[in-house]
Amino acid sequence: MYLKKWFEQKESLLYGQVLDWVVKLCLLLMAISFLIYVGGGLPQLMDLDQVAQNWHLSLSDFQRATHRPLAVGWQLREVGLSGEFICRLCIQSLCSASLLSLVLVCVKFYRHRDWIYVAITLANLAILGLAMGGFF
Amino acid sequence: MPLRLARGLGGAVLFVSLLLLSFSVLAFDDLSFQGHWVWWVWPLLLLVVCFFIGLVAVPAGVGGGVLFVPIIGGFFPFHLDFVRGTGLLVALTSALVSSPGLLRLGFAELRLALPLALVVSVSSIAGAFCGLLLPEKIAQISLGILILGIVLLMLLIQPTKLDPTQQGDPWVRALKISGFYCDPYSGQDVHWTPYHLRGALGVFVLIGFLAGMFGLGAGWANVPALNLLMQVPMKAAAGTSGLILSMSSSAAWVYLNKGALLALIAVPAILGMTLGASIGVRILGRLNAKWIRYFVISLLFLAGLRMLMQGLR
Repeated sequence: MYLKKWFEQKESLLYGQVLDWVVKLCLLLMAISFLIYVGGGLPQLMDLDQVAQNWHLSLSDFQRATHRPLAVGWQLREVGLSGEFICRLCIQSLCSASLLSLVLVCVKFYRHRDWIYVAITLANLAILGLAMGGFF
Repeated sequence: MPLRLARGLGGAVLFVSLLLLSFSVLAFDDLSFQGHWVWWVWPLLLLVVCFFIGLVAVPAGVGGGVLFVPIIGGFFPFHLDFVRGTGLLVALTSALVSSPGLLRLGFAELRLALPLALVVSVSSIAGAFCGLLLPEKIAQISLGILILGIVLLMLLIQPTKLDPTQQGDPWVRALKISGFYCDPYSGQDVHWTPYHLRGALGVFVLIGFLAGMFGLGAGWANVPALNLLMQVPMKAAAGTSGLILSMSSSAAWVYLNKGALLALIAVPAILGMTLGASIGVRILGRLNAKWIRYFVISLLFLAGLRMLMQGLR
């Protein structure tokens, strides 16, 4: 019973360990990139005053008022190398943090010939991947 | 004696802050002083408020998202579109930060979380699309009603007792889902098997949809669904709920791709919440969790009421 549980827990522990490292790294980079952004360390796509003057508008009105370029998924070329670019890169990396852990867990399930869970994990990965790619 | 004095003072501070908050909710038509202050005051204030939300969210047993959206949406000048997008990110981050520790302690079950996360991911994408299409007034009224419903849920629901004889349903047996953890308070080993997986999948479709639509995260509904419907022990329900959230970031991507995310709002909120939650976990044992829970329920009630009033105005 305990041996079986130990084998089962290994997938969970693997998921947790990888996630822990990725999330900590993302949060650290996010804090640094935000300081660069507000400190003007990189060119700003939109003036910070302009963002603040319009953040009470709905999304569609905000886009109309500011003409902010819309970057979908990982196609970040629209935003160029700017303060927004590095902040968004960190936010997106945080959103993708579970992806790497899920891939590793899927490999683990595959090695154990646990086909139902391979299918469920692959479906999870596909939905996440499509969302990240901007297909929704 | 000093401890009792400190607790009494803490209670008094909570009471006074609630009184002040009630006054502000009822007295002011517009608390969002748009344009009167320099812009950087708002991200700074957001960082501080999110720190306190993170601090009380852990002892109160709720996710960050459910507190973030009504409080920030009601009292800050940001549009609800940006607040909901950031709310999903805040909920995701608190789940990502807490999941590794919960998995280590055995409070979260990966085999249970994976099928439920799949259902939540798909339905939350649909919810996010519907949420972005909703007119502001309708969104505010529905969110206000939902928050007041959550308050009722938090007040009425009591944790269910575990039935050690249950064997799970055929779906659970096919997926080989069972859990085990050592309870740190009683020192006893707790073995559990979930129940009603098929029915729960339907409930999680609805939970995912609402979470995506209002950017609330889903901890407020995941935990009762896992505990009451699936008979998962409370600690494992809370842990598995976090794990489900950590895997279902797809709705946040919808908001990101539509542009409903501003770094100036999202980053201070995420960092404040993370800092607050990490301290909240450490001081968990020293706080009177019952008082904190009542404080959070009152706070949610006022924020929900304010959101409803904004929508009806």
